[in-house]
Amino acid sequence: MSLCQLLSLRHKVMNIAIEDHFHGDLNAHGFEVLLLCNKKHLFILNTLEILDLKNLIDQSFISMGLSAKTEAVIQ
Amino acid sequence: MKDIARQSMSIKVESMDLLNGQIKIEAHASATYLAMASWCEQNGFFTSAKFFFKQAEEEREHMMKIFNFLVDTGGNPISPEVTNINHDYSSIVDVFESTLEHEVKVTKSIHNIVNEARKGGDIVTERFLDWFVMEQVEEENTVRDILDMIEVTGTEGVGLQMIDNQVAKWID
Ligand SMILES: [Fe+2]
Ligand SMILES: [Fe+2]
Repeated sequence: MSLCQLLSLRHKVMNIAIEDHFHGDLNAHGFEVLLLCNKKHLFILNTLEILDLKNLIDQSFISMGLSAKTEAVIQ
Repeated sequence: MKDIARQSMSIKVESMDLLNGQIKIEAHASATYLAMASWCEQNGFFTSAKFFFKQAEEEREHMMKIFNFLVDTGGNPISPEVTNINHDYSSIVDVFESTLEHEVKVTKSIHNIVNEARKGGDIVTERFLDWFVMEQVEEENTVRDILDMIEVTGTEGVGLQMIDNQVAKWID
């Protein structure tokens, strides 16, 4: 995965309205569909997987030295 | 991996997020000025309309400046969604007062990004925004001068048309 693709994944994940997963009507089943790497891959993730992915992406940018944050974000 | 990533991107992701936010703000400003130009045209303030058409173009240029900066630094520029454009104004004075209010908001937003970039040690973003900081001083000053002119001219009788004619001074 190139950095561009990672940035685009980050943008998609950051734009997910996770609060909607806890609202009966807005996202009734708690799933998100993500298209990655110029539509090469399609992922269907549940609430916990999305939260993990958000964390993973955050940590990735920190460990690559591309984030202003230095400490680990909350698990 | 660390060096490879740094070689492809020369600013921090947090700065990139804030700059994408600023792209949206500049796009919103451009659309707002276009709405003001429309209002001025419909209410017979043709010189002011010209002023706002030009402002709308300038705001789009600001947006593109940031967009291209994100391209140059290897970031991910996002084409903005622009919603909630106000088309209702009670008078030409209201139009210019709203303009100043809008510019002050833009200035605050830019100062915030400068401060955040500084905190994160992102010198590139901080220096890039120098131009915007000075541009905002100029833009606020222009609108303040127009509001002063309105105050002096007064809105009674032919005042409104005189105000409109004098706006020409600020179109170059
Ligand atoms: Fe601007
Ligand atoms: Fe402006």
